[in-house]
Amino acid sequence: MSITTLTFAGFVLLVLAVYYILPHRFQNAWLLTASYVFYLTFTWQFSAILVVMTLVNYWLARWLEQAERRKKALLWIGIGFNLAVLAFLKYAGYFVAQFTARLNSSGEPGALAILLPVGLSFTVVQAISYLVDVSRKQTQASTRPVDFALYFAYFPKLTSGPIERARTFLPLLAQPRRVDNRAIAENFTRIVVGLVRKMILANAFTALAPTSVLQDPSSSSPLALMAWLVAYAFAIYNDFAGYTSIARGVSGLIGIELSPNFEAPYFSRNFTEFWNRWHISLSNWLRDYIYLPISRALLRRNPSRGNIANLIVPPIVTMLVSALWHEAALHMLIWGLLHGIYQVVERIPSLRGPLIPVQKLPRWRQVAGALVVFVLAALAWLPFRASLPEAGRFLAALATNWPLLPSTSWMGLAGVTAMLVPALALDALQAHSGELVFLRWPRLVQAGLLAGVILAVFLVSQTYLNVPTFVYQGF
Amino acid sequence: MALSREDVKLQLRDFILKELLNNPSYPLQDDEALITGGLIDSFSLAQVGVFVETAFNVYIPDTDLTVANMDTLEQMASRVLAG
Repeated sequence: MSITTLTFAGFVLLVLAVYYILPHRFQNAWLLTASYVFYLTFTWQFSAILVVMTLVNYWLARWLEQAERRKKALLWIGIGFNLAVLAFLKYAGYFVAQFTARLNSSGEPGALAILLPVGLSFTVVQAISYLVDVSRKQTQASTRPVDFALYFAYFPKLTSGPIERARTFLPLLAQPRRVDNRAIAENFTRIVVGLVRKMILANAFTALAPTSVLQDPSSSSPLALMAWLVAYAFAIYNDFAGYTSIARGVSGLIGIELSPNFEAPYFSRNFTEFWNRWHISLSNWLRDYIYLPISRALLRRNPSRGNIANLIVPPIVTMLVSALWHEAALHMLIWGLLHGIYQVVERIPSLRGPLIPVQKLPRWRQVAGALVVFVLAALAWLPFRASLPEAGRFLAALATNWPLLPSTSWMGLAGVTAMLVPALALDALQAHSGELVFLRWPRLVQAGLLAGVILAVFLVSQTYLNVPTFVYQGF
Repeated sequence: MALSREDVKLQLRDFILKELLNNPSYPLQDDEALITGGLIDSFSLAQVGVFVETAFNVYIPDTDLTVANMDTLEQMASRVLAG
């Protein structure tokens, strides 16, 4: 069940109608039931896997908390279990699919391909952080099975996050929740903004970045290829930011606030800022459980900031882990490696002299920084999206086809430029005046805007018969 | 002997100015935003964590090395004194 369908809207209304009349002590059980019904709409096997993961992690954490000896061994067993589930269902699936594709004369993945549960990567990182936090006594092992099961299965965040920590999420489940008119207005706004991002912006940008260009980039001019890169960068951003906005809105109507995941990332003036604004919940997870432990371990050996290992290892390893989390594939590792290298290079000036805060730099340098970050991030999206041979052919065509400028490339460029105006305007508005700026506008403007959005979403849903699934649902 | 808040701030300030900012004469205020103000980056937080371990024998968990807890000298001192 996609969260942009009318079926999902009906499902949410039914869940809320029952939820609002139930006393608090039954609300979590109702949400858990609803979450499993939601997950069952994908396939029943996903739910079975989720039940097993929930039970194992629940008992492991209880055991870990009570154990006086061999805590570390227990923790590693828990981490190993979760990684094994991920490795088997995600990575083994990938390799089996490739293997059977080689066996088939058609080259298509065969029936042996292992089913990848939707949202598995998100559940696994939540499970690992929960076990680590319990072992460090930063959170207590849950003694409420329904609440714990809901932490894993909660339907607004189940398929694509945000990644929540147990120590902040479980207390929200334990306390009574109040949804007043203000909360309804705010979260309805989030849902509408999410629909605009996904249904209007992401779908349009996706149409402007067709897969056919990757298959034969030599027939496109460099200008068209650059337009493709820009379109893809904005497609993936609005797709994921749209999902998050809808998920946060739905959850807000339940009275549970989910973490924000995006803050106008393409306005970032350096890559440190970019990773503080892009997929924030995953970036924070990687910082807490990969980057900082590695950095501290290295600094204990050699406290010099200029030490080559201290400079290179933490960002590179962190970004490679991020790449593997997305997909076990060489092209994805190249994406991670590029972002690791960007961060290493960016840190070099701080070794030689005092850092000038980015907001104190002259305006032109801030704008130039944002442009450089966008161009480099867009280039890195190429191996994120395409296989290595495809990316190689794309770059070769980009470098060699000059000065070919057929009229079609201007059409593509005009389309991307036209869509960039509303996309950048939305980001600028939210970055400057807050995520919920629209609520401060006059009622008449709000009503007109809402009517326009409903009409546009309706038209788009009629135009795109097959609305693409959310990109991050695949992870 | 228990450290006073001023002692902790003095040592932290000295470390930040010399090791992180490379600028011993920088007039760092107690409530000046270090991370959100762009003066130091996330790797510097790891350096602060290791410095606090060695100088004050206090271990700050990685999950506490955040902007919310460690953005200013005042906040860092509070976290160190909390143990």
